[in-house]
Amino acid sequence: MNSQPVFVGIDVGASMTKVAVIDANKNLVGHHIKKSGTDFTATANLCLEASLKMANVEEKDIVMTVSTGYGRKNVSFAHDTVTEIGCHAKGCFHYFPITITIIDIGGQDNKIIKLDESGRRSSFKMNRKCAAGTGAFLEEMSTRLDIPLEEMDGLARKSEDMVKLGSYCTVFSATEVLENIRNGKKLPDIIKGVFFSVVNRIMEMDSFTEKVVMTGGVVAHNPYLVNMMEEMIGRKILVPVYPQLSGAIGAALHAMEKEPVRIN
Amino acid sequence: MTDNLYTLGIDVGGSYIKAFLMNCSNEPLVIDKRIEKIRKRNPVSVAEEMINLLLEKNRLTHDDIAYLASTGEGEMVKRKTGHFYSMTTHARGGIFFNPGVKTVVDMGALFVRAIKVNNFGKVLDYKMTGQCASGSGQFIENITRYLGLAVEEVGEISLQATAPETPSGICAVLAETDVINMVSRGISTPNIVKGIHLSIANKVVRLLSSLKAESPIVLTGGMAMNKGMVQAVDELSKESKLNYLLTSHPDSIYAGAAGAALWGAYRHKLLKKKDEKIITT
Repeated sequence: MNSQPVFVGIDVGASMTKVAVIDANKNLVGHHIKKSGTDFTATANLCLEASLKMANVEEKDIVMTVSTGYGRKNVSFAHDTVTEIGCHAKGCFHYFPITITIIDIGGQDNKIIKLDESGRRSSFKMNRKCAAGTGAFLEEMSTRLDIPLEEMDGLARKSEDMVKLGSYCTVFSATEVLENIRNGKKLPDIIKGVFFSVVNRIMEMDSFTEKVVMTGGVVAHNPYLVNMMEEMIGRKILVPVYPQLSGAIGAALHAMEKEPVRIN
Repeated sequence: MTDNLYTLGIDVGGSYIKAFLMNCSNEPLVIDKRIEKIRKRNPVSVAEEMINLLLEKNRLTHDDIAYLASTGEGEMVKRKTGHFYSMTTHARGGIFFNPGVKTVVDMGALFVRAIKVNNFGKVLDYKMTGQCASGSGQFIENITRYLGLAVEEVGEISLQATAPETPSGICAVLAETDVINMVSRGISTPNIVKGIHLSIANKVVRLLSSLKAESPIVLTGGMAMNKGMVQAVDELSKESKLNYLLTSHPDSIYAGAAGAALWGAYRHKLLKKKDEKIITT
């Protein structure tokens, strides 16, 4: 065991639980991602165990743990909680310490956070009441099309003639997608249309004038969305090394800044 | 013997196709009806098959039908005489089944339409839900699938609720996660189902209040067959002090098709009158 003090951030999302472990020099030494499932507490414990193993440290080496996300109150081992916005902002600013606009596409919601050059939040927008444009939208489409979620990205890239979807709602889009299949439209063209719908929902949310950073599980698994978004705004977009972990890394950074508490 | 005036209305919906056969020579008379779920078939061929079966069963042929009227998504129905807009056919069908109503609410698979009508079934004003499935029958269908229930039984199940648990959001897709969490928290099926019904009913009541709907109100469409849905709308209308007087009819789901058959007869008579005028002059 290489015993060293570590800081843990845990992001319990509506669909995925993410854990990040950082050392005193803010290096990511361990991480784990798992489906949140129905028992948030049990999943959080499993994720912590796995990421500590990866970091090659023990539970007693943890100086402080901060939880965030939809299920942050369900983490029994966390010393404190911080909002998702605070953690995403911190996690992204750590990698890109400039004026940025963060687009986080999550499993069930989209967030747009604007930060100034000192990392302070200047604006925040969120879509919470609707699945359109979120990971849930892509999941629903992949089930309806009977295509594994991880194959969507590759298929969308093969499209030559995108099929635009007219519907806004996920439920109606699913019907529209099936109709397109029945009418003999090609699968890659339909999937690109599905991706385009996600990009459109985000474009409707805010203006994108500053440097844009994209994060979240949906971006991590579907990097083609970033290319499509770049085409829409006409600029390069920044993506951190671990787009899905930015909330958890932010939480770990918060843990480092907080007053240290030792568990006995 | 008076001449028969057979008309057939066919209403192609988002989930079901409804056919309604009438004799409109004097007082409109219901002859027969038929309903079929589209599933993943081609609506055009399902509609064609239904019309043929209905005619065969009543020993009629296409030549006996004075007017074959389509409505809903039925513009592509083969051999139709004419097409009518859903708003007008549901209005007409609603007052045919429940004479004297002032508002017709069509609760279908894809959206809800609230229509203010006069005594003759003329549309005075209307409002409908737009780009979101949170008020649609599709929502109930999805939830019943997650819970492993049949669409036909959810109404009864909803009536057994003692402490309904409403989902936190209103999105039909995100509600799935909510429902899974409710199941794992041990919430009973009736309470979950009732919660979903209330969530949809909330949409309906808001639509009615924004239309400034007047009672009596008839609920039509697929969801009106669901007793739990009618009860949920009734409860919320009382809760919000709107106190709507709600009615329904066992044949409510045929409102669009019946309205189409009736309008078909009306148009047929008009055309005939015109023809006679031309002949006499």
